[in-house]
Amino acid sequence: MKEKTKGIVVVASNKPNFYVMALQLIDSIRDFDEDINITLVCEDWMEDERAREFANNVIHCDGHYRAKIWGMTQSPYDLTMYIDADMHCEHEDISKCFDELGDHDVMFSALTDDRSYVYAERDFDTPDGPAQFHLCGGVCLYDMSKPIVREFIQDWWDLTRRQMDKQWWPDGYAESLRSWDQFSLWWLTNKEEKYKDLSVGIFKDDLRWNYYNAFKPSITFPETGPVILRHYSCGINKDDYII
Amino acid sequence: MSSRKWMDNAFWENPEEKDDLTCILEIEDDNGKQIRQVMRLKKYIKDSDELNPDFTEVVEVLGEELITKNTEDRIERKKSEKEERRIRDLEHARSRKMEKLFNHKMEVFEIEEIKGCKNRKLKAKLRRAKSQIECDLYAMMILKEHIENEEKVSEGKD
Repeated sequence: MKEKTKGIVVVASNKPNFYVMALQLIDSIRDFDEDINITLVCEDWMEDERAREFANNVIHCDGHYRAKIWGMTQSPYDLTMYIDADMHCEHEDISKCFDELGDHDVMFSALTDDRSYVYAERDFDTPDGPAQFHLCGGVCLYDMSKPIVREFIQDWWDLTRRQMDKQWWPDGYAESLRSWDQFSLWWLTNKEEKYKDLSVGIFKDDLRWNYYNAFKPSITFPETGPVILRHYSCGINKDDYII
Repeated sequence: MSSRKWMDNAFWENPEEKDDLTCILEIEDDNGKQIRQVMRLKKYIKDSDELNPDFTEVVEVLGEELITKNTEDRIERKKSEKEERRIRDLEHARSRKMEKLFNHKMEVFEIEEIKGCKNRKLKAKLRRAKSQIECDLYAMMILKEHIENEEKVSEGKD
């Protein structure tokens, strides 16, 4: 049987600073693994000579606010590790990320009650009663060699785009949820019959794989080793030009 | 029918002398409406030797032992709350500092000479710097290396 290809996908769109952060994320991964395959998805006007120096492959996207999910659909790898651009690699175990998937089809980090102090919006009402987001899209490991997974990622992108472009919204859900790609993810994994058998997993000791900088280390910490990927989504400079 | 009750969480303000306490009086009026009033009671009525009847009543109803236990528990609770607050503030400050450092590093990595730096070891050191000063020192080392390389090239030409 042909061995599955493996690689990381990083997406920078909409804001130029994401491009700078994406490059630094890739370079921080290279500090630990020079040979790992990395694809950078960015807008063509962002690209400079560093893109092809740092990444093995560059794909151009448009400036959609959530082009990250489109970028995920474009992965040239079977086993794909998507990582948000505003993250930073701190540990050599990044090389082992693909082993985490096991028998699952898709894998995320979790949104849990005890970490809820850093989440903007997690609980919401549905026509069937209260619900919560459980999956965090900061990192996502998925197997693109499986047709159902390809369809799932493509549907996540289609639904997110339609949701954000105001072409789709279910009755009985708060408008404030529209800006979250977690909503389309929740919808597909909870409401879509087609994906009822999709095996969605959570990284073992997921805090190692997506540790928000705003977490309080005294109460929220990984249990089996140091942080591998740190997420700087709070308090970072997304809008102003870095230089 | 109206009633009044001392809540069982009274504590000494001065655990040594035990002549000053804080307690809550729960009063229910004829219509069943409940009012809770926090009271600070001294053993003696001000400027006299006369015992304060409310103080005496609280100590009789709740007992000195319970009030002393409440006082000890409260001191422990306050101490642990203070420690939690201290850790929370420290972690918050640390998190802000790391965000600031992250933004600073992004700026440093956009400096032309550092952008083009091929010295992976020095770049990794800069990336992992734990403070702004450490980050700036590695940035200076990269700049120094860049200038030295430029000088070598120019000497070679000469």
